[in-house]
Amino acid sequence: MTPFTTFTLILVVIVLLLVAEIEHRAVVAILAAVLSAYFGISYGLFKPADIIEMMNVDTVLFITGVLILFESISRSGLFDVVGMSLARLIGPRPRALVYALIALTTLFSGISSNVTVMLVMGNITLRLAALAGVEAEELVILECLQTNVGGLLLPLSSVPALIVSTKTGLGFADFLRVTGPLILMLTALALFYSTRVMTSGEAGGAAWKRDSLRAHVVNSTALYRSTAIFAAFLTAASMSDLIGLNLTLITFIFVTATFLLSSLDPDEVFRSVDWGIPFFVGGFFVFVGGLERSGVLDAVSSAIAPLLGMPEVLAAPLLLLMCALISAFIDNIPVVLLLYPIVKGVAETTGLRALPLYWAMIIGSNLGGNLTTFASPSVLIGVRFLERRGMRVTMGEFLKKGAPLAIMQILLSMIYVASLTALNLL
Amino acid sequence: MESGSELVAYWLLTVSVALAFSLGYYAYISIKRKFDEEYSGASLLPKRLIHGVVYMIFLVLLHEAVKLRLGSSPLEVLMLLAVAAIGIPLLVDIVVTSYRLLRGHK
Repeated sequence: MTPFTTFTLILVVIVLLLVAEIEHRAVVAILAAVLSAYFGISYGLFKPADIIEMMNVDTVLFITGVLILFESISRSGLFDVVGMSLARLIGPRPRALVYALIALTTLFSGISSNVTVMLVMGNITLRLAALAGVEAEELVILECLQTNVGGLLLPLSSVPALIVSTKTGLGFADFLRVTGPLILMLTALALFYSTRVMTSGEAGGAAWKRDSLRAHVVNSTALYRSTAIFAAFLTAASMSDLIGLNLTLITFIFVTATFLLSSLDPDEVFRSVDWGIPFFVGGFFVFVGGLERSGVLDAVSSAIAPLLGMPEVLAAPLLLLMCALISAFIDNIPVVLLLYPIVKGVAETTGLRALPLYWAMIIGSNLGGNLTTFASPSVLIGVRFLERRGMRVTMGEFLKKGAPLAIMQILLSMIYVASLTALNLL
Repeated sequence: MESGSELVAYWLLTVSVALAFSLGYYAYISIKRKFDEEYSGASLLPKRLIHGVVYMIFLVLLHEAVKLRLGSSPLEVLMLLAVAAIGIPLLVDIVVTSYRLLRGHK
């Protein structure tokens, strides 16, 4: 067999395993890496020493550091405090409360892991919805969708954004300039949608007063210090070019500061980090390197090039839609890891500007997970969260309550990306 | 009259075929049990089909992996025999599963 055939077979196996979700995604990525390394070395495509370079250790370490920081900020109880303080401020006004919860979920997802935000906001929502007389199930579904919208806020807000930004050098300012207005529009759409679909009864004013609405803060020292350190991290990361330090180094400086100063238990933080993500990304990078060197990605790029062989103003939204549709069925991390070199190759061969395509990829892969209950971890967690509390959300119900908003948000994003591309703002 | 070494070769081949048959049968039963335990319910058949195809490709890759290390040698025959022993029951399972899927079973 030729290296091309062997690596095509490996690609088929990995895509099948990811689509069917037969094995844990990190295990699939490690399998992909092991097969790629064995065959790549045996065919002479690369040497064992090249594997470290292929693994993009810098990106993997950056993701690991961000996950640790996200976990520490979540464990500090900040989200609970902000959520409950806002609820006290708003009072038992259902409509305002729904808007606040949706907006907070979006904002928190920009600075923490979507899954953690979903769990924290899900708990807050159930507590407040019962007191304010709001339909909790529909609100939690909307929050699930908004976690993926919030994932567009910063380069570190979601793993696809992290991967593309470290590869392309897109910084905090680029994200705030491009995705900031889009997030505002998508959130406004979600708020409008919530007024159309959500049912609310009379607010339970008496119950509201009786409830203390106290946040679950275990350690107030940890809360203040972690919040301060995290805010300093965001500032330093956004000015990494000015400081002249690598983002990974900055991240680990603040990871160290968090452990030394915040009084959080490092063991607890380490236990809660989703270690599957760095293993998945590292393993998949080796696999993608193998596909590149065996010529498989070139072949896929050539096949896709005619599809995108049109003006950028059409190619970018089309790619966004394509990413969204694929991400509706497969985890968005492998989608981006596989598509990034392909899109780069297509841009090089067709002469298209790569940046609009990269933005389309980031946005499409984030929003696509909202189309089904199983593709995005935060939607999946949100649905399971409701199920554990006796509110079963079937795929049909989700398609009825959540998917219309997801489709509208994807369409709006396509128009947005096409407009910015046409105006040469990307 | 056959020579002693030829008899030993025939004996070895017979033992290998018998072993391959047993290995294939038990591999098939073990894989089928794993499928049925893990994927009970509505998505059993599609997942079983995908798993079957994945294992078939693994066998092809396994053969290629061994060939890359050993090159063409007499051991390749034994390797092919082992691959076929597991591959044939898997292929049968894929065909049966596809047939059941096409007939509308869940």
